[in-house]
Amino acid sequence: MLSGAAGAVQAGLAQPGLVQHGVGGATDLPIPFFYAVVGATWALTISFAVLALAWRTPRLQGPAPTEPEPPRRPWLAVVGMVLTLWFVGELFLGPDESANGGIGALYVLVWVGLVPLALLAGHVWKDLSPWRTVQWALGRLTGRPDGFVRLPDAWGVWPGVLAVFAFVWLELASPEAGDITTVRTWVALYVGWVVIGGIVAGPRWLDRADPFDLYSSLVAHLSPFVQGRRTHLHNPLRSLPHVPVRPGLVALIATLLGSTAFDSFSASQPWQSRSPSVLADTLVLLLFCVVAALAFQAAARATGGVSRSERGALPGLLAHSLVPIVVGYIFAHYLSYLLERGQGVVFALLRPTGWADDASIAYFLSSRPDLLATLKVGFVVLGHVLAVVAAHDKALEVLPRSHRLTGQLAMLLLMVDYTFTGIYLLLSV
Amino acid sequence: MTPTSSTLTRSTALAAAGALLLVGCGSDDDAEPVVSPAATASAPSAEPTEEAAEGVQVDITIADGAVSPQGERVEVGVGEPVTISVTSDAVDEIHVHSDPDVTIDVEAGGSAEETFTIDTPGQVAVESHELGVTIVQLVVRP
Repeated sequence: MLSGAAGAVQAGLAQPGLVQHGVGGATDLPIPFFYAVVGATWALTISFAVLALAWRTPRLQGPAPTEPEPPRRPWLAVVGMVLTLWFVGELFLGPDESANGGIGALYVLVWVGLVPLALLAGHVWKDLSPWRTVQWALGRLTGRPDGFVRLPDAWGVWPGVLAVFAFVWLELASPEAGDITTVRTWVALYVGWVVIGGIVAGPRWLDRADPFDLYSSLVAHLSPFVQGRRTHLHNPLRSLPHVPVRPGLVALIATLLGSTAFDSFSASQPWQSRSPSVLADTLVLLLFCVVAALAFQAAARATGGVSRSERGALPGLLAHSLVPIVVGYIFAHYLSYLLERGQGVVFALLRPTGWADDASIAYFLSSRPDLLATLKVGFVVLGHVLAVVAAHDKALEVLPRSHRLTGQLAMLLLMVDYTFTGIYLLLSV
Repeated sequence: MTPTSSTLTRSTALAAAGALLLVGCGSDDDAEPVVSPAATASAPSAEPTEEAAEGVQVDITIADGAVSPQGERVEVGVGEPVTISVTSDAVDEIHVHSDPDVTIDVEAGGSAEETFTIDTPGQVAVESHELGVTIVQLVVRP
């Protein structure tokens, strides 16, 4: 069972070697030019319509729900533990090759799958997280359920930013993202990071340093169905402003956005024809994230009529409005990857049962390129519109009256720029 | 098929229109070589052979740790036969990341050839296992 199962499941997972996104297989066609133009035109038009015609007093702001979140649901903790044992068991005990289902489970099911999961079910990751269960159990053993030290507030989510960067580096810039030993090493380090950190600093560590948990909690604020981990149908633009403003929030969102853009960019013909070194890949990945962050910092601050400290607070106050752009672009970029590559991953994970030996991937989206292109552009434009509305409403609250419109202009242009860049990458790569 | 001018115009137009972020981090990398894929894409084979008339022919040469071509786009139709010919001075495995995938083993100083079809639209990378680079990207259109 340990090896020799090669070939039994070739369900779309690639041979060893350099593979895109860590898992092999085809990628989407570039979207047709016409789709790009239509998408870009809509994004631009709606942006200025919102600025010029929309409401003049904040409508979406309100106090965060005061009732405490419900405790973790034990049955979901069990589900999370079983899935984790399955994924990690396959990764470490399954075949020593790139077809190992644990690799795809990490890249496809966990990293990409957590976004739609959080949109549909809120921050259910908190219930599922096996590391929270481990932390809870060990906390009882040590008699320190909240750990031994209090994570300094000044650190904010920076530990999580580091961990998210470590993940996107693994996926996009490490020399062998699809190599079984590489992924096993990364996962072992990750487990050490969350378990030891959880013992030392308690659940706060998992809130702020577990990359998947943190990412899920961010996206969950955009869920229309769940708020504060309670089922509650609502306008997601009302829950979005409740993303906690902590040091590192802008960096976190910029890392998610910049890395997705880098994923497109690094698959472009000019970059592929160059054989960049690992260092060059790493630096350019970092550059994408830093440029996204600095541009946002600058645009958020570009208003008149505020004091120095008020200006410094603006990027954090507006950061939540970028989340829809991130989510829209993630869907555009990874939808077919999740739905089609994800089938291959599930087949590989089912290998020990033999249930999926004859299964083959249904390429519903890839075989309909026009539908796929429409969806991709649609997600980007929808994310953009939600972002512009969220930023507009927040700006009305936090900007001085006389600068309410002019103070939004730089942010609006930046969002248009992010979106055009996203559409350009979908068009040209 | 003359993708050269249209691809160039589109890319430049859109780049100029809005991709300020990219301009910030190296538009030279991005804009300049856009010409080359299109220019070579429709004619990957230097000498049109009889087989080439039946489908798409891709000739790959691996020598001194470098591969030619590298990173080029090759337009392919769904179901159209693709023939990949490899000549190499070192042992290598060429992976075609289609489903099902195709592997072409080549010996040092040898050559190998494989013909296959791809049934799903998308972009399929053809990669060298030893060099870890994308040799060509097959752009498979319906």
